[in-house]
Amino acid sequence: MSDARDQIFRAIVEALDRNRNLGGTLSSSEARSSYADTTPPRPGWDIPMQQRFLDKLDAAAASWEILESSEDITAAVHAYLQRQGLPAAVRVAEHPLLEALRWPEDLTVTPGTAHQGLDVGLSVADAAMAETGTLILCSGPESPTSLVFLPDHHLVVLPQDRLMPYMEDVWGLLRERPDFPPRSVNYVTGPSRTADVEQTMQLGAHGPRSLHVLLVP
Amino acid sequence: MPTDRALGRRGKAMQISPQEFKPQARAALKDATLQQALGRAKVGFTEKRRKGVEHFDDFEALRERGRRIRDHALNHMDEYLERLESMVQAAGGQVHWARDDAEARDIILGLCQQRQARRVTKSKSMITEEIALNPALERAGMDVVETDLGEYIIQLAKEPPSHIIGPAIHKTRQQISELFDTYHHQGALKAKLREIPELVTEAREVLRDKFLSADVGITGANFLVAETGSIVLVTNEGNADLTHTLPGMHISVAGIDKVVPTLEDATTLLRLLGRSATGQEMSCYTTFVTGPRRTDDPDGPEEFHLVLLDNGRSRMLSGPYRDMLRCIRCAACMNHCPVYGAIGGHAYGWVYPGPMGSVLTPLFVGLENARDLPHACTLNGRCATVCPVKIPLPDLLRQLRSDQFRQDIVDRRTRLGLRVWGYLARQPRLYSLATRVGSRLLRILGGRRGRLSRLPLAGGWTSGRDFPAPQGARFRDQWKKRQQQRRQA
Ligand code: SF4
Repeated sequence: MSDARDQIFRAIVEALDRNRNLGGTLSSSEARSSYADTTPPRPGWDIPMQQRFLDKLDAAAASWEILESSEDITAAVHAYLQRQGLPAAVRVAEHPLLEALRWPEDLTVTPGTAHQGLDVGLSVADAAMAETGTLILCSGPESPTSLVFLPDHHLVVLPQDRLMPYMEDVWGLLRERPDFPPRSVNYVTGPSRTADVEQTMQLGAHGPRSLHVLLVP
Repeated sequence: MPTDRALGRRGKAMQISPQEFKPQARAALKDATLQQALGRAKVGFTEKRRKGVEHFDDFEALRERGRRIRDHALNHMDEYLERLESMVQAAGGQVHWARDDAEARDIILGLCQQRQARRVTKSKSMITEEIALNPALERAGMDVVETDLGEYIIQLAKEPPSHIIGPAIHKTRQQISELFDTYHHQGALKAKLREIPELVTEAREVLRDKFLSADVGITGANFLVAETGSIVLVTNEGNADLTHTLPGMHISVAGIDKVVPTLEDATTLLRLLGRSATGQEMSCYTTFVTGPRRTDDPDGPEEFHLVLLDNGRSRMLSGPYRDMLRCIRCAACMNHCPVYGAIGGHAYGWVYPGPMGSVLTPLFVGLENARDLPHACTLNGRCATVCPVKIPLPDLLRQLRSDQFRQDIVDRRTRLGLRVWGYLARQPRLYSLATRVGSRLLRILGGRRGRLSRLPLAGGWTSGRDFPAPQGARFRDQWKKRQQQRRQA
């Protein structure tokens, strides 16, 4: 097996050397600065960042509401379930923000990862970006990855100070985490979809059929 | 050569091969169901890309940056692969190196057996098609389940993908209804035509059970990030994430060409990929996976393996085809190709269809095994204009033709035409005159439809495709005009 590794590297180095001899050598960091020192071309907008984010959520077929305080999360979840005609049960990520809440008695709250018979999941986003209306969730004890993909309805709490303009800013924020990189960094833009049958967009392929964002201060 | 072995096997199983391009293309043109499906697909993809690109202020600058990132990564591939390897290992994952398809199959099969896998879920990956992985796992008694809806459909139909991002693009709703009837209802529905939401929901339910009972999950990788040792997975369905999160082992298979330096570089390429492929600014799910489950993680696989495949890529790195390694597999070139639009993907006879496939297939399986592919092109240049990393596809096809010419495997008739063209091309005045006369004539013949279904002296060509009549001014005239304008400005 290490034979294979050696042989592949030898072939690459030979191929590159031949070329380097023609074009001169640049160390990789030197060469990278030929493009990486300038801001990458990216979409702009002339509306407030939060408005851009909400517009993009709409465009991605996600729904949202702005809450006045994180204490309102429980009522908002309750109301969502009623609106959708769903049973009063929700799987909740073991996130400090959610564990601090006082859940009403008539709502069944189950923590942790769950696999089958899962209608509704509630998570907290680690970041979001206005560029594309995307939520970012990092795997870890406070955010099981399966909760992002198995429920039919995924509700996501977004603390407003986590909203960034661009993906590059998200990396900046995430790199500060001591556990970076976590096993899975999930960029989520709207509910799951497929266009594999006759190019016609259909929501709810394998992941959630609906995605609902709760913005909190 | 191991690739030939894989090719032979697939060729036999699928009754398809790149040597048979001409008859396959002819059959495709006569297939009414296929033509119906292709007509829909062609319009869908090009429209979506146009809108996606229109909404971006300076898409050309984005393409240029994409090209530079990919070129830089290729020019320093050794350094970035070393960094990638050490970062994957630091995160608790294992890296395996495979020189060719047979080695890759053996590594993956070994890992699955070690895990005593009975069921393996897969998310769509062209490279596992390239190494013909599924038959190898099936022969070892494993239940291999494709989970991307399009890929699942063609797995039921026992067909290879016909498009690199929409593998079942050639299938109509009627055909899909029939397949689901056969495999999910044992024919009880009598092939009734069903609505799309119903079909999607049914597939979701069938596949959910497979996800939950899989022992190993296999994915490809859209990019490899050297900085962090991450693999990038892009889907709209969420199937890649269920594939890598639920089973006890995650295996990712990727070509060595997929490596990029940093997360920011991957970010720029993602802006290009979504817009070029489906017109999306961002696909629904873009995931960066680094290693296996951490000790206090509530889910994720215990083992993570990255299989890095060469299979001719290091050879491509050294020669005139290096530009092809920039490819990010977005499919824009085939979506804008009149030849692909007329015959679909299967006629190309191997894993990669369309313009990118016409370049890659001869390089992977040998020019002598794919002699028609470099000619499956009208040299209209649209593919190069839409390619997000500026791969000069028509130039590479021309280069392949000239390699082929040198290998002396083109028949005499073709060579005569080329010689005339070559003579004219070397006489600028004559060439200019010939093309001016030629393009005027063609425009008149093309009429309002702008397409010619018969071309004088090129019957062999137009019997298989429409020739787009030249639109507007000739390139040479446009160029002259533009140079003048520039001088004036
Ligand atoms: S060659 Fe260019 S356009 Fe074609 S798939 Fe590759 S990156 Fe996309």
